[in-house]
Amino acid sequence: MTKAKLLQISQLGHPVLRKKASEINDFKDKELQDLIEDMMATLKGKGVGIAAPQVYESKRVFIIASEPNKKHPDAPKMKPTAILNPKIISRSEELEEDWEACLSIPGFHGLVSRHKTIEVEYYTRDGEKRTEKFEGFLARIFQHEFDHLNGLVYLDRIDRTKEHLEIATDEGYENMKKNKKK
Amino acid sequence: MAKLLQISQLGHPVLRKKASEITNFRSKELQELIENMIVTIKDAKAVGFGAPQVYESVRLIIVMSYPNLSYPKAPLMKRPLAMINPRIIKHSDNQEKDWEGTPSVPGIRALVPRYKEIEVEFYTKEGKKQTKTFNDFVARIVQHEMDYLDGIVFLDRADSKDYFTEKEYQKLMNQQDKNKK
Repeated sequence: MTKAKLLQISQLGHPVLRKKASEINDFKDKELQDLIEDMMATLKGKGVGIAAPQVYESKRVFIIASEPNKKHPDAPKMKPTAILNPKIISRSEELEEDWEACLSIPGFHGLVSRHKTIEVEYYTRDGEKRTEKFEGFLARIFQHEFDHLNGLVYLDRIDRTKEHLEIATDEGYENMKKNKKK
Repeated sequence: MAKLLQISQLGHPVLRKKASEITNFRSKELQELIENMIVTIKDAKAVGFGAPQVYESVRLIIVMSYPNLSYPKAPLMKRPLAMINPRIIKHSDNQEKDWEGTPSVPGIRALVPRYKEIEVEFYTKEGKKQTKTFNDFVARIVQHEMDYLDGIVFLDRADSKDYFTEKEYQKLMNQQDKNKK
């Protein structure tokens, strides 16, 4: 087996992040399997999810890898999992607001409202069809990554009816968290 | 001697507050603030600041357009203009989209619609009331800086589809330069 490579991460403004990604037809394709390995390696230590358009591949695949870390001390554990051709088949009416960030928009955070629970259908990297329910933080990651496959980023989801957009730089975000704790 | 000031970053409440009117134009603090803001703007390679960007919630902006690394096509103003308690009293009907950015939101640029021409009433740093008309890029700076006095940043005015990271913005600018040649 060849060693996984670290991939370059596309940045907001690049058209690949604004395109609808294409369905995957051949699950056995070696290039696809390599891409999944490389995406997992690229994500490691950097975040909890990454979608193919974020590594310049306009394909319907993303990785979720959640575990408690400094940024998300309460994150549930989910070992790196490839999600292919995902569909969201139902969404809870209940929404939840929380702060998100994105490898393709370094230095920023935004408050995004997401469905609290979702029911999804997807294929595993072995081509097996799965139906699963996600809740809370994992549902949030799923919706964030799913958006990337449709050319959307979390900044598009920020509430524009509020008096001020809830977007912050790293420094502003840290400052905000400190003040909340006081 | 003028000092470099710290620049507030989006997420800090000072950038989201309505700034207060300035009543004492002669105060030494105000004159010093103006001098310090000017050196800070130069240091940040910016073309203007609102006072909230240096943690001062007062209705003061500085506009100092000159061609620089961030804005190579900026027109040259002879000297920095401090505008106290500014008010837009007239503006053109039409708006134009162009790129903006700020050291208070480092790393993102956006295409922001602004009035092409505005007429602004303000007090000078000597306390004299003045009315001035601004066009195009300088009108854009004035509107951008005045927004800070009402807790507004340029991202609020732009469509999120028009948000670009600095990296992609630079690529786009290089491309446009090449296409012109």
